[in-house]
Amino acid sequence: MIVLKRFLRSPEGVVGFGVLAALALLALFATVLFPGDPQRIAGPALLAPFVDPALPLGTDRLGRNVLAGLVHGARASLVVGVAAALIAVILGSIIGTLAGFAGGLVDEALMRVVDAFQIVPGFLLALAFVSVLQPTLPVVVTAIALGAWTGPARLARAEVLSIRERDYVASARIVGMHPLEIALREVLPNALPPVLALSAVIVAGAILTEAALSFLGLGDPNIVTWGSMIAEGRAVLRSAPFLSIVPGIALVITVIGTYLFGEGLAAMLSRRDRQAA
Amino acid sequence: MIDLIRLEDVSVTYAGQSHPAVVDLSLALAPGEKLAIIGESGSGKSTLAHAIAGLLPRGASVKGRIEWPALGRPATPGADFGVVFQDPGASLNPVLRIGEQVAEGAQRHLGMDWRQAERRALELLEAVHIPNPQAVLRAFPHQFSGGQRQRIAIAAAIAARPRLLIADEATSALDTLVQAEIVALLANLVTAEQMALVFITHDIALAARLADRIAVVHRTALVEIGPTRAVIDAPRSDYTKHLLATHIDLSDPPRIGMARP
Amino acid sequence: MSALLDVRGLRKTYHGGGRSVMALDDVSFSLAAGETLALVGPSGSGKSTLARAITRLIRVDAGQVAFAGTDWLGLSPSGLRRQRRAMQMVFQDPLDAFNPRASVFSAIADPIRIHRLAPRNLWRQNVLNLLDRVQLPAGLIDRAIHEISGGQRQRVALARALACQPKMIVLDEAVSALDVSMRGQILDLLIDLQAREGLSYLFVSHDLAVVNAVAHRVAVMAEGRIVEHGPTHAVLAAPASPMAKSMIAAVPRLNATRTS
Repeated sequence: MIVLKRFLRSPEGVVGFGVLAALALLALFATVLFPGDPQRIAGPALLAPFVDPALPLGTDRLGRNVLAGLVHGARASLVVGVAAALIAVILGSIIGTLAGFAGGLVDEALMRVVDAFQIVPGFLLALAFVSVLQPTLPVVVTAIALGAWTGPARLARAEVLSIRERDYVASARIVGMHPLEIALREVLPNALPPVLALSAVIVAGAILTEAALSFLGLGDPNIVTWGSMIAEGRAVLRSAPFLSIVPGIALVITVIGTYLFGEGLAAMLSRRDRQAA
Repeated sequence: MIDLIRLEDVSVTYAGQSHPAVVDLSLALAPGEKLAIIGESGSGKSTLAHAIAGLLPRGASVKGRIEWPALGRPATPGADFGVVFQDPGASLNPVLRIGEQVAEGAQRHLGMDWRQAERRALELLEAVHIPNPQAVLRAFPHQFSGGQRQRIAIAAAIAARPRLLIADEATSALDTLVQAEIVALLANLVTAEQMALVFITHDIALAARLADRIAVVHRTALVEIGPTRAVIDAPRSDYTKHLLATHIDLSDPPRIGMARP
Repeated sequence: MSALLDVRGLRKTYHGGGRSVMALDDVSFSLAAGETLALVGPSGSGKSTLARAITRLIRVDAGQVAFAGTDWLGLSPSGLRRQRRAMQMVFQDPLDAFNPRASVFSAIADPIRIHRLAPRNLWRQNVLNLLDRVQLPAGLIDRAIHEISGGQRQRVALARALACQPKMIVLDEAVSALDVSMRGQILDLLIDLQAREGLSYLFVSHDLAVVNAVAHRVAVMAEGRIVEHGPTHAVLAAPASPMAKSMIAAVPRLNATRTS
């Protein structure tokens, strides 16, 4: 398909996809690579990386396998990141599209709701939400989505508003197309690609927010996440900095990979350039 | 008299394209001469203009020579030539005031200070017949119509008294009335300021109204070039003959029967 | 013969930024079957607004439109959708007039599908017939709209309009964006279709030379009003209004002497 070729032509996209694919595979096979509970004691405490081949990245304060924690933590990051972004994008698209089509009072009302959610910084909103309810995975996902849905909502609405004015929508009306069909066939398929491209950035943000929540001790305490690993490493930052640095690097690579993938998506979905005269 | 610009066997290929946009094109422009370049979309006429103005996109390969014999050195944009585009939005910055944009050329290339440049901007706005120029200095592009924006773009392009003005389909997006005004304005301006004019258009009648010489471009090649009347009355190239034959003129007989059905 | 289209007293005012602009100021005219009426005027004269008002793309503040015997402005949304196919439109920008994802087939088949003008197994044949009527090769049928040339796209737009079996087509600067050597062909096609099928055209244009070629009658607009109208040859030979005179003088002629 031509669209796929366009994606492959963007080096950032390909690199990003590679990073994410590798991460997804790791996360998928976490239990195969490191069976058992990653939080169990695997060896002596504070073992440095590259010393014991059975514990390639060493152990933490309690003797837990850092690499096992890293790989299992990938699961949490990716699951939370993707799930939160999915909810944010779907919810935002629906509300933004509704506002764009309805216009008038409905549009005004919905946009004020968007304003309300946008005024509070996303992270603080997530923080407040998790603090009030129990810190389980679904709650964390919802909390992050609550802060992230406004971006897609505004973008979807802007796209719908602009596309409604285009000649091809006018042509569809003149030919006698039913408004519902116009919405589903003419407007939405052309309005959503930019929102899709935005979703990659939202995943990146969601992963970071999850890490930050875990770092503060507000994540799900029963699973390993990169944020909680970084938090654990704080106590021994001077004697064993690798405990915080390693998951930190994993975070950075993941976020950059997601972002690059988003760039590739945007390149793939962008409109064709017109011929120069 | 020494030529102002000389192009010798110029070929341009855009990055990522296998076929060139312009092939082995040679032409020369005398100082103060008005040359019209005519062609249809995809002919290469805009590529030619961009090559002269040094505005080709990154990665475009240029073969052949583009020289400015009368200058004796490569041309400086703004100082030696100005460009007006089809879309005034491309020439004018929507967030800057008109005065700033029109005066910029004079400030940068004529070494004027702000006060002198502002006076020059006023002169220029009057020369392009913009009413109330004092108020216009502080206004923004979106407050004006397409035709007015094009006049302002022309004023900005000639601010530093360049030797050449390139108008790339500068009237194609305007209605017939405004188009006629702008063309008359261009003709008077270049004569008064002794500038050469390269006028790119798809309308052969418009070119005939304005130009000393006409160059016809078809599918990357220059197929004919000569004095206006010679090209219009006695075209040598088949393509020029085709353009003239398919031109719809006001004096043509109607294609429909004149009686009401 | 009663007129196909009868427009009386259309008014439309735009309000914005503290100012009001009368885009349409008491506009009235009529169009007979098989006739071409040109609407000419500079940008801002209201001709595009008029075209959009008549096709009910925008609402008007006052006025009546009688089309094919119906109270056109009074139709309900569902009634309008059913009757709309009698009045079609071809737009100025051939690329923007189509869904970016459309193919030649889907664009032309839309009206046939929407109005159930043929059973599904005959759609392809119908589209092929329409391609033939607009003088396009059958091989284009599965191509994407953005792959074909501007002139071809405008023919597809015409085929799409014809698929509705219309009585009238509004052509809003339909040849202005085409190459000069392509315009004549499209105009000839339009005239041919009119002669064979009795179509009426409302031809909006700022180009008087094109209007002279195709229109039986012309209405000159300025500032939202029709300031002059009559048979094309009469208006062009002896214009009465200042606007018509300016527009005629502004048309570049091939045989005029240079302004220098």
